[in-house]
Amino acid sequence: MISKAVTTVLLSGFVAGILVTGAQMLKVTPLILQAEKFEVGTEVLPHTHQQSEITHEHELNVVALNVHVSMKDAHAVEAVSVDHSDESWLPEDGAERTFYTGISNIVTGIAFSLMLVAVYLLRGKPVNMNSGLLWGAAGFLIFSGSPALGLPPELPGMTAAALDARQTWWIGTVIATAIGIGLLSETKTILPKIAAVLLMAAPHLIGAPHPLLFESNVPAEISAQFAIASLFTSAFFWMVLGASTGYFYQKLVPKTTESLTTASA
Amino acid sequence: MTTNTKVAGTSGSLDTSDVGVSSQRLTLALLMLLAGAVLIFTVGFAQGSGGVFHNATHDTRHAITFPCH
Repeated sequence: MISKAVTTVLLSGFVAGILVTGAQMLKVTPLILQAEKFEVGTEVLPHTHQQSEITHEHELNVVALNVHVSMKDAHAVEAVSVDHSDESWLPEDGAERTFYTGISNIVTGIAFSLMLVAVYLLRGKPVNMNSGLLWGAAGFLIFSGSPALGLPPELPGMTAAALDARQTWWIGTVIATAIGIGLLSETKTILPKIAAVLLMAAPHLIGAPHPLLFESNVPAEISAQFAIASLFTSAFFWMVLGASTGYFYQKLVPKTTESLTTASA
Repeated sequence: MTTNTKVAGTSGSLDTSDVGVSSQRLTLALLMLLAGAVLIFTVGFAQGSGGVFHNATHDTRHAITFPCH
């Protein structure tokens, strides 16, 4: 059973990773590349402002941004390592970059498949392509939908709150939404379901961390396009993950789905 | 099919291997959740020395709505 469950995970992760890499090249990657042209200025904030035409409004923003920057001083080390202009290794644009994106998409696909198949195993009920799709939809809500409600998909070059704070909120939201969906689907009485809804709403009632002042060099039009494009790409990713884990699980993992195997035999 | 379902649904009193299978399934599921979480952390959050992980996974992070920069 172990090897069959692992095969299910690897096959689904690979298929979804490859397909989403293709899907990403349609809109998401071109938008990231477009936004990176604006990013060069954002990472060295003071220079950007010296170069740009300073208006009164802009001067106000500089003051507020300086407050923001000083708040982020504690994370200075991280800021340096994230800086694209330092000497750290970077895949070259083009084939190399697409290759690494493909690899990390496959690893992400495998990671998410592990989660999905773990849920199938925990429930111990038959799964097929259609019910897999539903679990994929749940995965989308947990890992993309709900977090994106508080922290919309970001483009390089957009101002945001400290990375640590956003990552913490993201992880908390994922866990709360996952437990919430688990309670909704696995319980039959009303109280746990109410608790589930409250749990899923909690991260949004607390609120995601945001900067004191939003400022982006990336045109709003591109940011808006990117938010929609990346959510659709994630949805596609999860649809493929859900359908393929369901399909392979049904085909390969018979012991937990005995009644189903005899039905299909 | 109905008889099969009954057998599958029988608790461990008749078939002890059923308990073995279900505890194996539980262990496997928990290990998978853990492995999945470690992989998600690597792809989505780890920076690596000189930002190696960040740079290799950059476009994935932006595409799948991980907080990145």
